[in-house]
Amino acid sequence: MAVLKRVKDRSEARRGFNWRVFVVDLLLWTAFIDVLSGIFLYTPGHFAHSLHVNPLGLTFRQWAVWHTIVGFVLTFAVLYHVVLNWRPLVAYIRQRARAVALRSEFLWALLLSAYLVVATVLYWPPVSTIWDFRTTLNGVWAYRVWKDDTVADLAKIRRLKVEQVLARFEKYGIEAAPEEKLAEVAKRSGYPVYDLYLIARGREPALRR
Amino acid sequence: MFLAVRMARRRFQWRPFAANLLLISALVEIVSGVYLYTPGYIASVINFNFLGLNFRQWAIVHTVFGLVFLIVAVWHIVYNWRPIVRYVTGRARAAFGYRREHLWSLLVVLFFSVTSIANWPPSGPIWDYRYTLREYWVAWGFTRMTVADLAENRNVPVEKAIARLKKYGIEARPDSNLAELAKNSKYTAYDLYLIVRGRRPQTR
Repeated sequence: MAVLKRVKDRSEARRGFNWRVFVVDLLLWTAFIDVLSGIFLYTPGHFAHSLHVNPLGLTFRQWAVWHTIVGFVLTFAVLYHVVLNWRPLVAYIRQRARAVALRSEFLWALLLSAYLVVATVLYWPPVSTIWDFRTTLNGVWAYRVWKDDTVADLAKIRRLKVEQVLARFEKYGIEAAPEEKLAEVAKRSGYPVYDLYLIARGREPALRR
Repeated sequence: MFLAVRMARRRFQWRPFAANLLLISALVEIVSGVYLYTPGYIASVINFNFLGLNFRQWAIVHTVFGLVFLIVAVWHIVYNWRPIVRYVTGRARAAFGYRREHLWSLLVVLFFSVTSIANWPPSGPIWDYRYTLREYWVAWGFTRMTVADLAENRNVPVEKAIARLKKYGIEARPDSNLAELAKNSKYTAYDLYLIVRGRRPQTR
């Protein structure tokens, strides 16, 4: 066994470094990390810090930096992958460009992408639904984490004065006491816990407009 | 005409459709990602809308196409399950021969992951460079903006903006050019933006 291993090691040492294998592996790893971190940044991402929810022990900033830096590595890997496979890629495109098959499916893929961009600008479904769903999920997160916290706890989390939070609540006709639980305030006022968080921060409520 | 008839007769092929969508969404993700790095988040301040889209719209494009990419990637794997299994099992057999490449790719990813999380070089400076670029963008945008423009942009009354600038020893009028103001004060263009918003400047 030891002899076999030594022979294998020697043959590997003789062989040059295979950049194609390396780049494909890099593409897979970086795509996986960016998808994973992207899902976290979609929700609860930006207010995970206030929720004290830190998956893998990382803060929002660390997730954002990780997503960005690995995104850059992914971009370089994609470019290098194209450079390494330039000839087969050009031959493939030329061959497929002649076939009707590519034109039709490519056109539909392009049309769908164009629609999504237009839907973003005009805020049409399914784009608006996807983006609004983020707020809904934030509402779920906020309720699950803060339902047993009081108004005073929320003020402490956001480093605000309790009086300031109560005054902001009053602007929206929400009567509350510092020691009252957020879930109770939400039930009585009709504003979900996530909206109470936004109002406390001086922002517009998102779930009940 | 002939092409249209042929296209109508032929059945729609989902595999090339998924592959094309995967490529397009990956491209959109890269372009929007680079834009969001900078000047994206400062674009609305300097009234700069790349390709006519504002920051929020670019963020939505990045999110939606990210979701499309994820769905199509899973779909692509399902559609190409057999060749992928053959490829993976073939590679698994050959994996021993390529262990150096696998190890190096893993090391590179680990290196950038650890340095990102710990804010060590080179990842830390790459992230921080965003702030340097922000400074350039704001300085460029402010060459064609007045105090009144910025106040309007940030929903701050002009008088309040002028009073806030005065607190830091910056004498300004509604029609004062922001780039000129920054040049004649000890503050950067981005600091003026922070002051107008009622925040503390970063320059000490």
